[in-house]
Amino acid sequence: MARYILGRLAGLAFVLLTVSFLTFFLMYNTPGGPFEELNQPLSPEAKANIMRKYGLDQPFYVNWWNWLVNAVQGDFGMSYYYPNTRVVDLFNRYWGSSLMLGALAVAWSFPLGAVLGVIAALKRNTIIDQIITTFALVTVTIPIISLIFFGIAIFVIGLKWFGFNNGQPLYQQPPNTWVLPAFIFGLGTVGALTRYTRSGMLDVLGQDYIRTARAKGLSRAVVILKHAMRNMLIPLVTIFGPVLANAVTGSTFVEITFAIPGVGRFFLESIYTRDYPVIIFTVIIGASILTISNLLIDLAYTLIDPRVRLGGH
Amino acid sequence: MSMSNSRKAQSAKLNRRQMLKIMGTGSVVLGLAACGQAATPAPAPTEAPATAAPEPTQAPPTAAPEPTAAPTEAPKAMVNSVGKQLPADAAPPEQQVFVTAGQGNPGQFLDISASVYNRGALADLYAVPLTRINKDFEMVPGSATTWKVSEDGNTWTFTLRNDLKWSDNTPLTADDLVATFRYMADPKSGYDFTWYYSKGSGNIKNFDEVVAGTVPVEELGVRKGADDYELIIETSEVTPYLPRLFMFAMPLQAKALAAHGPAYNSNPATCVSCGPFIVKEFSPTRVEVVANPSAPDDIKPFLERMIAVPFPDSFQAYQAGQVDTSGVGNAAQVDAVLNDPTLSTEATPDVGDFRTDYFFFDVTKPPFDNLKFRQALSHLLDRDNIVKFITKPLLARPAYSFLAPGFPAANGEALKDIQRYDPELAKQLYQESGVTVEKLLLQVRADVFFGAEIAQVYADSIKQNLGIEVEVKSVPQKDYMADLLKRGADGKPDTTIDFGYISYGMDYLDPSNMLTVMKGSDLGGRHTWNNKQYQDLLAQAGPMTNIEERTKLYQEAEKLMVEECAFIWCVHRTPVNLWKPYVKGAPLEPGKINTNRGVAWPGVGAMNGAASEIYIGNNVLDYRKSIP
Amino acid sequence: MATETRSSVLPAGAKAGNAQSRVLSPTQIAWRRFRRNRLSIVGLGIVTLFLLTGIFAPVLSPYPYDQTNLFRAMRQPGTDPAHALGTDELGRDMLSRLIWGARVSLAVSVSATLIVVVLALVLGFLSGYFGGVWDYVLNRLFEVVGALPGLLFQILLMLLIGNGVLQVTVAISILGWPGLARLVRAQVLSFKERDFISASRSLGAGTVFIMSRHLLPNIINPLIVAISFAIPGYIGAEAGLSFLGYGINDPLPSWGKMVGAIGRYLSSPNYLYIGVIPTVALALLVLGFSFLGDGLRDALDPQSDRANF
Repeated sequence: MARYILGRLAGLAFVLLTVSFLTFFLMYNTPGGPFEELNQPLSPEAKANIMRKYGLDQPFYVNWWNWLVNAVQGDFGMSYYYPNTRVVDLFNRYWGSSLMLGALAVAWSFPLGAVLGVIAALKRNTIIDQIITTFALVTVTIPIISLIFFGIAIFVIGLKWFGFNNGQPLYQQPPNTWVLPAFIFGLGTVGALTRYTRSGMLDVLGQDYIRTARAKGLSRAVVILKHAMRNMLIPLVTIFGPVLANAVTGSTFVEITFAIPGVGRFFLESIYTRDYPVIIFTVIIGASILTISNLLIDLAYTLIDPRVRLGGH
Repeated sequence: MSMSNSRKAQSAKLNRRQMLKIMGTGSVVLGLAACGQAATPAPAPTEAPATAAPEPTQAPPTAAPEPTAAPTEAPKAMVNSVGKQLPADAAPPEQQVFVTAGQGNPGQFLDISASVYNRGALADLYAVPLTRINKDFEMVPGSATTWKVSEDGNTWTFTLRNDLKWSDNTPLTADDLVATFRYMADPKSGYDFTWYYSKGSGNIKNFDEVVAGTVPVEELGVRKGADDYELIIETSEVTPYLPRLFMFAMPLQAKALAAHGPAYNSNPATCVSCGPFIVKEFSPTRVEVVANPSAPDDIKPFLERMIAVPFPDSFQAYQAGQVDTSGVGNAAQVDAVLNDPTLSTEATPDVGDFRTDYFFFDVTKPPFDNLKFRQALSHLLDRDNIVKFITKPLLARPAYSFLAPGFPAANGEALKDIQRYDPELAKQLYQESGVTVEKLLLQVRADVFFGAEIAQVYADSIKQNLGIEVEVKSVPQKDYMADLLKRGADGKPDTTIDFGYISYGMDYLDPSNMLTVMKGSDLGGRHTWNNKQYQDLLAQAGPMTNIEERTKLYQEAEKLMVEECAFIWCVHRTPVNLWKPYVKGAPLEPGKINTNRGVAWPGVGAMNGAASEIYIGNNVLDYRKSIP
Repeated sequence: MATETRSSVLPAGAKAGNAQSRVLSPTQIAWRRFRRNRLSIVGLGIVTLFLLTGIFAPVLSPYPYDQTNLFRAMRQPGTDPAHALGTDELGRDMLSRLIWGARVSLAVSVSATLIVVVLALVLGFLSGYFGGVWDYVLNRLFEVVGALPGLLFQILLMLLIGNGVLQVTVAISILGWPGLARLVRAQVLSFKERDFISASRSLGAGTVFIMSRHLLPNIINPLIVAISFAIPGYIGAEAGLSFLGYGINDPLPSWGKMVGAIGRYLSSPNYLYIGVIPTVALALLVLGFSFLGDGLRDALDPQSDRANF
């Protein structure tokens, strides 16, 4: 087990290396550059100076290597766009809001989705099941952009119950700036999770060993708790990866529409300004979180389903 | 150029361009104004800054203000945290917060002298420019109280106020201004607005040479005079309108500039101000500034704070009650302004910067070198319906010439018939012209409000009446201006836009400013229409002192320009801005030119003193639930 | 109580179906099961309708999707006999835009889903079934691709390859498969060691036989659920990229783009229909795919067969 984890952690280094290389390739080959959009009619010499200063006259792999050497020492450089500002300091301003938004969304949507899914499965084909599945369907059918825009039209502009964020981190804000985004952000997850859980639970309920357990005379509650719930967790754990990824970067739409200073919006702005050090840093952070969460998910599989062996054969 | 209005209009739109790169908005226009040889008689400086000092109230400023004081109670005098006495109908100091949507991206700099196109929200509040304008666009003293020009007209002496102190308690002196001008000219700075003071515009001596690096920065024609408060500026040509240009001459502090670079105000730790505000927070998502206690009394604001948040859509934020002012950015917002009972009372059109939208041709290239063909096209623009259906009458008036009604020397209705909408006449003229055209490309500068829509209507009309296919293409402002002003290797105009739609607004209220833009590319103008007669009329009128004669010449020049049909005038803009009823103060009161409530161009700032004079009224609690 | 639940698990008529299954082919059984579920038929109907709409868009749409008439802009649905669903902000016919939007949205999402499913099936299967080096190498690949923060990377990619229908399809599918591949792998792992697979192997069954006979049917269940989410997901992904300006260029419509257009027009309730119409269309389509997916699942799933005992 320990060897496996160590191996996977070595894998993490490999992943980050590859991801950063890929990102550098993309960044340096996309049209436009960090100092072309500033609308400054610089003389060719002045521009050449700037390009030299930031190493932009070098091929991307040279820049990648230089970045890597510094990054390994914990130096992620200065923003190109915001003068005299370290990338890390900029990032520190944003991650808290994204985390809070993601946590709020998960906090209400995960338990609700799981419980609804289990109930629906246990009450299969009853009116309760139908209500739950209809609700789940409706929440996943409406695109998040529609939810956001109609949410804003109705609750912010129309009823004025909620407001846009005022540019300060979310955790310094009154609830009326984060309740609606957190609700909308979690809504799609509830639906998806309900469906996954319901279908996972139904699978499990149909398995031989459950029927065997039932046949052995174990009470229904015990069977559900000891066996079914445990096995139903597999799809649950599997979906957690994408949901987490969403929480890290996917809240971009909610962030830009509600003016929330989160990582997704931060990244988007850095794309517009071609702020390379910020772009690469954000991608690396996102990649690290996703990789580690994938590792944890795989570990979770073994805990849930003893027949899944790590490392494979 | 329109700084406030078009900026507001832009930030009112939710589009990626806005998020993308927020430039100093209409300022590119300014960048091209080329008001160069325009010779405007320098207006005599007026006596005192146009500060509406509040009527001191009787009661001593002892009692702590009650936030929810009933209106029937006798008003108590309130003093804000920087010791400025608030007007009688002002809300208590803790409510003296003005919130704007700012821009989609805060930019890197906060001073026009550091960068024009890369300035953030709440810029230009940290100094007082040499001269300012009042709400009727008249020049008034700024950090310079008086100025005089030598016999030969080439040496200007500006006397600075001696009571302007930076927030680190050092006085504002001529050295600061010398350092500022040197910074702008220094090729190492890469300043993006050097044209403004160079030949043909500001004509500051050696400015172009310093920018080019052929003359050291020390030889720039800007130096300290006899004492700390005297600034000498030399020009290479007689430039009577120079003081007017200095509305943008916002001093940077020499010491901070040297120690921390031009972005020193973008960091609260290094911010130093002699203007109405100091930076408290500068971040990509929020800018907050607080009243500057070291400013003299007339510069000190009533407001405690100003906040700019880059809301995705300022109009929506206004509707949600989160900002105190907004422009109108699209059709749905126009609809809301027209139909919502509250919004319609809070929205007022003004002249903005007298912006006119127009179509233009590259008259050096066929088929646009054919006058009859141009005339034919000029009769196909259905302005009345464009205004009725697209812009709505609230936001624009049909334009039949360049100068909008109310602008000095405007011809008004007199030229209305020359380019009237008359498809039959157009068909006839097209036949007479002898040219046959199959396809045209009409390029629209993307920032022009409803520009793509208007261009499409025009394209449809041309197709319907003359059978010419017209493709409409929208091009981002930056690329558009590069294409428009492109010059070949020989320095000759080599524009790639043969047929375009664009707009222009004033830099200062004088016909020379607007009409000079059209003087032709040979003289550094914007378009390739180089008409000798027009150029001569402008040169003749510029320095004239007999206003009546001068106006006549300008009107003649404009008539000539309309008849030549190098430009098809479309609409005069009347930008609509919304102001919450609790935003009060002299700058919002109707003036001679803007006859509606609202702060005139260039918006709430230090260039017109509005930042020092607006305040939050005591009716604020009826509207604003909380301060963001 | 327990018996009640038990009976509720059984679809009505299950026994009859099983009785007849002895004389019917598996496809026929599946179709019978599918048909029994009314919602599945509704889903199939919706999806077919929209697919046909997309395919025959050039014939069906009353106007060209890009024909503007600014003097007739912003007609609300039902106010102009010439435009059943009204016109948009440029006076383009909403119905025509919707019909063409179906074409674009479905083309993008279905192709993307196909790419993703094939990639996920093949790679997930290889990894989960063979294990060892296969698993290690493919896992590294999953990790690298799965570690790329989706939207951020898609934007970078779109910047490089430019906007367009094909480009968007590539951008949203190239990163889409690891999740599904992991799901496939996880399912393969959890089924591989089950008794009936081990039994097959010990009886000398070959790899291909085991795969096609036992594993594929067993992972089809989560796969179909995943696909029923994937197609709407890709429509949403295209919408997101187009909304941010990294998708399909104007004037070609997609439903996602049409929804995104509403962001600018929230200020007036008179304009909201511009977003409501494509939202309803999208929701219907997603609903259709969900019903279809559920129906297919119930029809194809061997487990639901066993659950009917």
